[in-house]
Amino acid sequence: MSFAQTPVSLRSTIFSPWVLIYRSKKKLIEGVVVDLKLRYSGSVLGWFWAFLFPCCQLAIYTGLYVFIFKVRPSGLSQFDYVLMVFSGLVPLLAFNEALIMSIGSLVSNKALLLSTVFPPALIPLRAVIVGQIPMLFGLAITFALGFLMNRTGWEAVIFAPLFWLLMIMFATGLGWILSLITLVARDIQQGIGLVLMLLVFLSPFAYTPEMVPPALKAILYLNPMAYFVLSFQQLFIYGELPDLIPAVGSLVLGVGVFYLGYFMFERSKHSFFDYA
Amino acid sequence: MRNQPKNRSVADHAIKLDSLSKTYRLYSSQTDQLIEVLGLRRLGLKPRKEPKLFSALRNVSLEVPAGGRVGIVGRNGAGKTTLLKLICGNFAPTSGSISVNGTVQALLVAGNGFNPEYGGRENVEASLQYNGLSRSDYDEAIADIEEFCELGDFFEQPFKTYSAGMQARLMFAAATAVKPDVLIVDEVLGAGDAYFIAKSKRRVEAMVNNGCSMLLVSHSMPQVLELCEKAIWMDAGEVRMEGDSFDVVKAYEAYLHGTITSHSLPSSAASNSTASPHAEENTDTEHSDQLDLSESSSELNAASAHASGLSEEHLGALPDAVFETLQEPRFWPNAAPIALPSVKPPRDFKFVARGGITQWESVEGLKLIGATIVAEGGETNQLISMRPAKVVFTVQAERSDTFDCRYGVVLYDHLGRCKLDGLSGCDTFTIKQGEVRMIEMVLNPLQLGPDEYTMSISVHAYDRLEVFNGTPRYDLLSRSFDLTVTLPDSLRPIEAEFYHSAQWNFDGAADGTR
Repeated sequence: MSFAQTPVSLRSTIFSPWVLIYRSKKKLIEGVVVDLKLRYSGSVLGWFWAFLFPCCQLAIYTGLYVFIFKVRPSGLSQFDYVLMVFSGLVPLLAFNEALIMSIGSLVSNKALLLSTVFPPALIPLRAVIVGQIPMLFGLAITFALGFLMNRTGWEAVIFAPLFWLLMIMFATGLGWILSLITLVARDIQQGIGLVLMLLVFLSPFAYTPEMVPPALKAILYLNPMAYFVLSFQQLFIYGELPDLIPAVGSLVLGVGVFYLGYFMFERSKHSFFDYA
Repeated sequence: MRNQPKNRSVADHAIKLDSLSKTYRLYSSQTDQLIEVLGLRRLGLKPRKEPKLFSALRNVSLEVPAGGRVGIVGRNGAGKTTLLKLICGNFAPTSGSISVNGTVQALLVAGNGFNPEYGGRENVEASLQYNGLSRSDYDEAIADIEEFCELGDFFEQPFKTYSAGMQARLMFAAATAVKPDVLIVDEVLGAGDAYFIAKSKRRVEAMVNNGCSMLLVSHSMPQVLELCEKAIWMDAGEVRMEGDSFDVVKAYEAYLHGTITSHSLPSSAASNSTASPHAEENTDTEHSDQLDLSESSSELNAASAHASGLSEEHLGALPDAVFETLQEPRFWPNAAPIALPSVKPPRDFKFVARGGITQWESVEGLKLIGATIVAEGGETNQLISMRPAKVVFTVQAERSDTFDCRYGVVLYDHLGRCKLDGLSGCDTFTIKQGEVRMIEMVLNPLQLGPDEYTMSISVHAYDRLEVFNGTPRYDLLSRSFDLTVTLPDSLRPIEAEFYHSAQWNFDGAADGTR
C-alpha cells in the first residue's frame, strides 16, 4: 500500500497504547460520559435502562436454562446454578455489546476522523468502554449473589476486576482490527452478530466442562470466550483461583490481542481511512 | 508533523504544505477493494480489474503564515476538500509533507457528533467534547452558543424537531465555539438566512481578528474577498493560481463565467433556453433564483441554474406586469440640474484597478474600448457623496448590425460586496463595423456613501431581467476600475453607506419632488 509518511506511529513501543490513553484520558472519560448520556437521553426511564436492561437480559437467559431446559449440573443447587449462569453470562454479554459497538464505531463516527483533536484509536476504545458499562451492574449483582450464598471469596474481589480488564483488552484489540476492516467491508457488521451468538452458546456458561463429551472438549477450548467464562465461574462459584489453562488463556488473549490490534490499527489506519 | 509540541514562538507559518500529492485508487467492486486493502494479493488472490488511479491532488505547495487568512477557490472536484482533509492529519498524503503549527480546528463537516434524538444542549456538549474542549470551558462556550443561535426554548428540545435552518445554526455555533490557533473552514458559512449568514461572518471575523490563522474554502467570492488576504485557485488537483485574493477571485470569476457563456451562447433564442452543461456549477455560486434588485447578486452575471434554464414558453405564460424594469421613467432625485463637463468618447481605459483589466469571455458584436469617470471638476476617480458624477464609456462595433443593448455598471465596496447594480434600459441602434457609440451613466447625485469601490462595466444583448443570465454578453470588464467616494467634512455627522432618495408625503400630500 502506498502510505508514504506516517510519522505519528513509527516509534511504537509496548508503552505507546498506554501513553496514548494516559495523554487523552480526559477526552476519553468525557467522551464515555457524553456517549452514555446521549445513549439514554430521550428515553423515559433514562439512566435506569443501564440497570434494567442487564437485569432483564440475565433474567431471560437464566429463566430459559433453569425453568425450561432444566439443566442441573451435579453437586449444584438451583441457586448455585443461577450463580453459575450469571458468572459466565455477565462477561459474555459485556463482551458482545462492547465488540458490536466498537466494530461500528469508525463507520458511525466518520466525521470524527476529520477532527484534529480526537485520536482515531480512541474511537473503538471508547465504544468498548461504553458498551460494557451496563453489564457492570450485572457484575455487581453477581458479586452480591455470590457473597449472599457464601460461595464467593476474596479472590473474586481482586481477580474478577483483573479478568474483566483482560476481557475488555481482548474486545478492544478485536475492535481496533475489525472496525478498520468494517470501513472497507460492512459485511463484518452483518456477520458479527452470528459469530457472537455462536460463541455464546458454545461457551460453558450454562454447563460445566465435565458435561461436555471428552471428544468435543477440544472444541470448547477453540472458543476464546471459554477461557474468560471458566475463570469467572471458578472465582464466583467455587471461590477459588482460576485453573492455569483458563487463566493463561485469558492473559494471552487479553494482552496479545490488545497489542496486536493496536499496532495493526496504527500501522494501517491511513490506508483504511481513505475508504471511510 | 502536526503533532509537534507547541513551539508557536518560533513558527513563522501556521500551515506549510510541500509538493503534496494524493492519489486515490478506485476499484471496480467491493471485493477488489477488499483484496487490495487487506493485502490479500500476497496470498495469491487477484482483483478482477486493476484499480483506476485518481489524482485528487498533484504537487500542491502552499503556505499559510501565522495569523494569515487564505482562501481556496475552485470548481467542484478540484481537490479543495481533499486538501483540507489531509491537513487535518488523519488522512495520509501519497507523497509530500504537511507541517502545521498550533491547535487546529477543522469545520469540515457541520454537525460533528450530532444526533437527531438528543436535545440541542446535549448535542452541543457532545460536539464540544469531540472538538477537544475541556469540561471546565463548557459552561462559557455553551452559554455563548445558546446566545448566538437564538433557539430559545428549542435549545432543550430534541435535535430532530428543529427546522433545517435551526439545525444549521446550532451546528455552526457549536463548531465555532472552540478557539483554535488555526481554523479550517469548508463552506459552513453558507447556512441559514441572510441575517444568520451575516451573523456567522461576524463570528468568523472576530475569531480571525483574535489572531487565528484561517484556511477557507468557499464558493462565495465576496466571502473570500472579505475574509481572506491571499487566495489559491485550485483546478483538477493542482494550484492554478496563487496570490492576492482580489486577483485570484477576478481570474477565477472570469474563467467560471467564461465557460458558461461559451456553452449557452449563440444568439438564437432556442439556445438561450437550454440549460448549459455547467448548470450544476451555477448553483455553487449561491445566488437567488430571481434577480433580486434590493439585495442583488454579488456578481454582475448572477449565475443561477434556474434562471438560465427557464424556457421562453415558461416566461411567456407570465403576465407582462411581473417583469422588472429599470430606469424607466428616468429618475433624477437631485433638485439641482446636472452640471457636469461633457467629454469626448473615451478611447482608453482610465482608473484601472490593481490587477488590471479582466475581460470575461463574451460573444462577438460590441466591445468596450474606453471608459472614464467624470465629476464636476472633470475626469477623476475621487468622487463625493451626494454630488453628481457620471461613468462614461465607449463601445465599438465588430460588425455592421442593428443592436438591442443593455449596459451594466456595478460597484463593489472594499470588501467585494456589490453596492450598486446599475442596468440600463434598452438601447436600440444601427451601427457600422468599426464605429463607436458613447454611453453615459449619470448619477445625479451619487448616492453611495464613502468607501473605496471597484467597478465593472458590461454590455449585454437586451432581454428581460428575469433571463439576464441567459442573454448573450458582448463584453464585460470585471472589477477592473477603481474609485474612491468621500464625504465632505461638513456632512460627516450623516455618514452612511447609502443615501436613498424617496418620495416624502407631508400630511398626505407629495412634497413636490419629481
